[in-house]
Amino acid sequence: MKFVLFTLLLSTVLVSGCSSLGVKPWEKDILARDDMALESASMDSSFDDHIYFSKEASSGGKGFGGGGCGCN
Amino acid sequence: MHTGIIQKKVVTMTLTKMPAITKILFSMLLSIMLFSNVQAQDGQWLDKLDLQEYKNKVVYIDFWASWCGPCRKSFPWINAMQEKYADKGLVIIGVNLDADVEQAHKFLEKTPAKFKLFSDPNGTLAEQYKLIGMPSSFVLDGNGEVRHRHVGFKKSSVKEYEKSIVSLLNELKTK
Amino acid sequence: MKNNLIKNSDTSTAKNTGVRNLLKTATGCLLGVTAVAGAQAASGEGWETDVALLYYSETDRVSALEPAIATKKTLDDDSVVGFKFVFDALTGASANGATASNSPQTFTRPSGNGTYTAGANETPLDDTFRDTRISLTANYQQPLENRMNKVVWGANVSNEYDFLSIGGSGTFMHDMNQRNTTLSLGFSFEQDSIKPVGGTPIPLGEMKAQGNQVRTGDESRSIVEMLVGVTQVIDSKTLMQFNYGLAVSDGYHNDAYKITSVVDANGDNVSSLDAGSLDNRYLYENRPDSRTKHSVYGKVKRFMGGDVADISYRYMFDDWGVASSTVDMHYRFNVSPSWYVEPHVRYYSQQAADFYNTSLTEAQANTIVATNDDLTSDYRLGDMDATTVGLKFGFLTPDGNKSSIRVEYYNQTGTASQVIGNQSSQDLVPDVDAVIVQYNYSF
Repeated sequence: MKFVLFTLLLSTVLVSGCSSLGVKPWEKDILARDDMALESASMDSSFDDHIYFSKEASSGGKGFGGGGCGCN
Repeated sequence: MHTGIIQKKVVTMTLTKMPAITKILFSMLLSIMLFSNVQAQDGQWLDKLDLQEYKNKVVYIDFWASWCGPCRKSFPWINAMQEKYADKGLVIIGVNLDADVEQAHKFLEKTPAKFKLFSDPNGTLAEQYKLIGMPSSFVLDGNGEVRHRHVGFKKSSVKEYEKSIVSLLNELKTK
Repeated sequence: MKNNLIKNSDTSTAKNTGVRNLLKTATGCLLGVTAVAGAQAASGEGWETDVALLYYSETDRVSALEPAIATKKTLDDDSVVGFKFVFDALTGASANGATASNSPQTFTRPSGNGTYTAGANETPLDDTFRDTRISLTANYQQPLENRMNKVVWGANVSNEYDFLSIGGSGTFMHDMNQRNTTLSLGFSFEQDSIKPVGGTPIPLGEMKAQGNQVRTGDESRSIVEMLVGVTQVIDSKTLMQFNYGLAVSDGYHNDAYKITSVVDANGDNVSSLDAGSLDNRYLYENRPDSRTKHSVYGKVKRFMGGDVADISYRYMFDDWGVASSTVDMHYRFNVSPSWYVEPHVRYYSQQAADFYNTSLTEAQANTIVATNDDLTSDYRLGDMDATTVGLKFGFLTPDGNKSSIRVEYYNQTGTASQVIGNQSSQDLVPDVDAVIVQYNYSF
C-alpha cells in the first residue's frame, strides 16, 4: 500500500513538474521519426511479451502512446 | 514538369532547322505553353513575406513541415482550394518550418505544392502567430486581420475549412 | 528565368525518382509478398501492414513457429482501425516440475492414456506437449470532441486446444502542454476458460497410474487490469515514459500438467500413499485462487548523433511473493537511410513465489496436504536470472518497403529452493537456452 501511494505521489510530482518541459510544436522533427516512436517495433514487442510471459512470472507494465510528431 | 524539359529540348532542336519566321512563331507558342504550365504547377518560394502585397486578397497561411503526416494529407486539398478560388482573390502561402529546408524540397518532390511557399527555419513567424499545433492555418481577410484559425488537418473537416475561406472571399466582393 | 531553372532541376530529380520507383516495383520485393506500386514508406494512406514470422527454439525442449499479420488504416476523421492475427504452432517437451533422480522415473501422460519416462539423472520432460494457438485482436482509436483527447478500444480472442481467452480493453489518452505530455488510463478485462487435457487433476492429489485418473471438469479465471501512464517530451531529442500497472486475477491459476517430487532424506523418490497412484509420490500443484500484481515501468528514448538508444526498467511484485526486475536496452545504429543495425540486451531477475518448492521432503509434503497449503514446482515461479542478447538488422527492400531480421539468444538460470540428500549430484533446475529468429516486412 505504501508503495502504491509513493508511486502515485511520484507521478503527480513528475506530471506537475513536466509542464515546463517540452518543445514547440514545430520543433518535433526528430520526435516524429519512425525510430523515435515509443513502440517503434510493435511486432517484436508483442512476440517478446508472449515469450517472456510463458517463461517467466512477470508480464506487462509497458505502455501506450505519446511522443511522436504531436500533429493534429 | 516533364513537359517543361521536353519542350525546352524540342525548342532548341527545331530552332536550328526551321526558317526564321516559323522559328519566331513556334518559340513564342512554346514559351507561352511553358510559362502557363509553370504557373499551374510547382509552388514558388517567396524571398520575403510581406502581407502588404496581398491587400484586398484573402490570405490563407498554412504552417507545415516535411515530417508532419497530416500536412502531407492536406496538400491535395490546399492545391485544390488555390486553384478553385485564385481568381476570386485567394492567396495561399505555405510557411515551411523545417530547420533544414532541403527536407522540404524532398517532400515537395513527392507531394507538390501549387501555392506560394516561404521558409521559416527558425520558427520566427510561428512564434509570431503563436502556433499551438502542427499543422496550423490562419485565414486573413482583405484588411490583413486574422479571422479564422485551424489547428490540425482532418479530411473529414474540409467543408468547414472551405467555408471559412468562402465567407471571407464573399466579404471582398461586397466592398 | 531564374525560377524556371530551379524548377527544371527539381523536375529532373522528380522524374528520376519516378523512374527509380517504377524499377523497384518491376523487380518486386525480396520475399514475393505483393508489392504496393510506387510504395512510399508509411504515408498514412490506405492499409499499413506488417507481416512477421517468429521462430523460437529451446535446446532439447519447446519449439514454436509463429506467423503473424497486423494491419491498420487511418480514416478521414483521424480514427484508426486495426487488426492482428497470430498463429502459433508449438512442439517439443516441457519440464513437468519433477526433479531429476539417480533412478529412472515413469509418469502418466495428461490424457491418462500412456506414459513417458525420464532416465536416471535426466530432467523429467513431458513431450506430449503439442499445441496450436490462434489469436485475433481488433482495435479502434477514436478521436474525441476535444482534440487533445482520444480513446483506444480493443478486443481479443485467443484459442488453443486446452485454453480459450476472451478480453476487451479501453484506454483514455489526454495530451497537455502542446502535446508534450500525454496521460493515459487504461482498463482491460479478460475471461479465460481452461480445459486441461484429460480433465482437471485434484490439487495436491497424487499422480495416478494409467486409467486411474481422478479428474474434475473445466475451470475458469478472470483478470482485470489497470494501467496509468505519463509520456513526456524532455527535449527535441528525448522522450520518457512512466507507467504503473495493477492486475488482479481470480480463479484457476494452476498449471494442470505440473507436479512436485516428494523425496526422502537421501533425496530418493518416496512411495506414494494412495491406491492407484504411480509407485513414486508426485503431487499436483495447488496455487492460490487469486493474484494481485503491481508493476512500475520507466523508459527513456534518446536520439544521439543520428542513432537511437533506449533503456527501460520494470519492477514487479505480487501477493504470491514474486518480485522481479527487468532492464532492457537497445541501441540502433542508423548506418544509412536504408539500413540499420540494432544490438539488444535484456537482464531479468526474479525472486521465487512463497509457495515454490523445487521438491519436498515427506514431512513438508504431509504438512502441505494436511493444511491444504499452496504448492508449485514450476521453474517459472522459482528464483531465476535470465539474459537475452540480440542483434537486429533493418533494411529497405527493392520496392522501398521496410524489412528486418533479428536473432536473439535467451539464457535462463534458476536456483533450487532446497537440495535434499543426493539431489546435490543432480541439476535440479537446469538452464533454459533458447534461440529466437524473427523476420519482419512492412508495406
